[in-house]
Amino acid sequence: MSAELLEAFESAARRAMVRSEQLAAAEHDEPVRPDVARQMHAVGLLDIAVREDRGGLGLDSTAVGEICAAAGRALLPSGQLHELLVVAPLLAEADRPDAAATLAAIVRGELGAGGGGTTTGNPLGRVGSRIRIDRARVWLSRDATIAGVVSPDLAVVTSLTTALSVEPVRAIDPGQGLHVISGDVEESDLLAVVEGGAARWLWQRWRFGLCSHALGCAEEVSRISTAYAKERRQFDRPIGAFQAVSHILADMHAGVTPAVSALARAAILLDSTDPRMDDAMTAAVEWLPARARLVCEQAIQVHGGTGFTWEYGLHLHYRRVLAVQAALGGRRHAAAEAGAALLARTEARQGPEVA
Amino acid sequence: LIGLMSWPPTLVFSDRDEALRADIRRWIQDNDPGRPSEDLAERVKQLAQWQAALHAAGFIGLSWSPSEGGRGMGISAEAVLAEELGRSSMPELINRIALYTVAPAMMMCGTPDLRREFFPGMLNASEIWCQGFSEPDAGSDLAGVRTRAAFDGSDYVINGQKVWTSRGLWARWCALLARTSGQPGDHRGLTLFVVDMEAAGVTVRPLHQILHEPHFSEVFLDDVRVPPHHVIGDVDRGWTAAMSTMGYERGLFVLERQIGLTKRLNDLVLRHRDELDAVAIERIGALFAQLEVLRAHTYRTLAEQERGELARGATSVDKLLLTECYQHLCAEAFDLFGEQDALAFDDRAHDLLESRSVSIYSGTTEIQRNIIATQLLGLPKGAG
Repeated sequence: MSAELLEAFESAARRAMVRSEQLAAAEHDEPVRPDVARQMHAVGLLDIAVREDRGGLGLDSTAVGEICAAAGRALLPSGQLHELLVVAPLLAEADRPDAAATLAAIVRGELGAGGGGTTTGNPLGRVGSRIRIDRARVWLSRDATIAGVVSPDLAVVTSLTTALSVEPVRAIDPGQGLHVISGDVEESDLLAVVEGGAARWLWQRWRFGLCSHALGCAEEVSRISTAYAKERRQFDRPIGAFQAVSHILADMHAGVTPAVSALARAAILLDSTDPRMDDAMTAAVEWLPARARLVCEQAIQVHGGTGFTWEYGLHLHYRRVLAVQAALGGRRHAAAEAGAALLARTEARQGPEVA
Repeated sequence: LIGLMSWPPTLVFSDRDEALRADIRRWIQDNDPGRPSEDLAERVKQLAQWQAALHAAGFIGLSWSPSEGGRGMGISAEAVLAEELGRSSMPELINRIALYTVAPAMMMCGTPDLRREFFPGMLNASEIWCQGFSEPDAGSDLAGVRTRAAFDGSDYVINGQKVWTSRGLWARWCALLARTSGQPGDHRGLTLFVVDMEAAGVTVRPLHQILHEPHFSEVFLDDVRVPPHHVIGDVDRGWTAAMSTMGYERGLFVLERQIGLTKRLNDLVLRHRDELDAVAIERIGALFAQLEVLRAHTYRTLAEQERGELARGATSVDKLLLTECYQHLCAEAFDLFGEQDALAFDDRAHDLLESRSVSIYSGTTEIQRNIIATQLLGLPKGAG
């Protein structure tokens, strides 16, 4: 167990994700074929973010982040990413007797799943004995019948029963099965409920996973762009020999590299009881999707006309990053959260902890 | 928990580091002399006294070996010092060029005699150092150095001119690159000398910067004699000696700057907290996030440095990120809190003007991008 797992995951994802099929899924806004899910389940998708004592692989957050980044590079469907980050750990954490059976059914392809999370509004709340889901955004695999949702203080997995409205949304990142779900569900009917500190941790790790996913997208377009600039010739030389181009590529690298540093540190804080984790995550959510987005824009620019074509597909990574940024509340929301964190710290007369 | 280990390391502070942190913090609480003078000459004097006091307390040269006057700790201990100094009124070490650039070069390729002669004065700041690299025709293109050193049988005799020499007015010694062979444009043929700034033939003329402070100078060298034992490394191999420690310096330098910027942001927020509307909170939030990312990246650089895993050219990223943070913070402070209505020259205007230096000093932004493009990304060196 080490680098091989990451490699196995990434190569399985790259094998499963055929570019022409991704483009078709985006064009027709339909989730990709179900055997992608089967192939990913075969490499243990649902075990990645689950603790060992709950039947998972017991990977640390660094490893989960690395897997989510690999998923970004390969453009794993968002529904599957959320099976990994939300559904499986929630089912495992809630520790209901039927959780293992539900997970097994997902792996056998008998149950489709998906999930999402939230940072703005109040999409999950208690109303008497019921949980109210109010316009939660979830990415659903094809034929999904269950969905998980994480929020800062409550996280649930629910069957998509008739009690819930499930509306498809025309998405920035089409073909990923984005839906909005609403309705009231009896708590006893839920497949998993997690609250308090455990919910908050899972929510933070979801945010961390999405940031890692955006990083993966930026890494991939950065790599593709550098290779393209070495190969594509104009004016009798590779375009990468022109500073006008190479400096854009250098800036892309200068965006991706600190993003890895920030997430690597956040991962370690996430697995400790270190209170600096909140600041690290707040900063990552504000800075990272925005920077990944810029890197995608720079990648399109470096490719010239090619970068703007549908078939080349750079827009798929760009769309994914935009979706991540929106899922995390958008830049203004993230900046407001960071500003509030800074104010709270200076109010306590501590200043952002230097130690 | 199981890891996959493809992501980079981050700096981890040991119990010994944390004990050191507590020591330094306590010591600074008891000894912090307060804000230094506005007058630059006076400030330099105070900063030298401050470093001497820190040295007497045992906090300078933490990562140096005990035989060289240090404490044999890791680079994380230097980071602790930088962080704790960042909380003090005088965060800057006046002899940082000596400590973080010249001394490491001497450790790597200098003779034991050089180390014995110069380390004590570097550590206690009784002898301030400057660096004589840039010349009028050798700025970004440092290989263009024209200052010449000729051996006359007993000494090297140096003739030429240096420019943008930081602390030139106060320095006793200068680590100076001069050409011992070859032609301008060639990295080979340069030698790194220790030049006595009080020697006959050295003329220092202050160069006033954008804020009219003479932080740097022009240095003219007319038949300046340097004994052969004041060569650092091999003759004609000065480029290697000079460049070998550029990366070493940058990790700590960027961390110090990061802490300074964080302090500045805190002070701004404290001072203006009642004026902050929703948009201003978002904008300071973006700055806070950027500084947190810079810190994480600096910790990574230092951790890689400590493990000997730092890739050649990697710290160009640190420099670019620092520049972004620095100039963004100063511009936002000016726009959000400056007294532009009164057209007054205030702290924010001061900082904004000063911040233009960051994308120029220690290798311009364009040079950093070239380094990343060619050394890290493997792109062809182009003329276009």
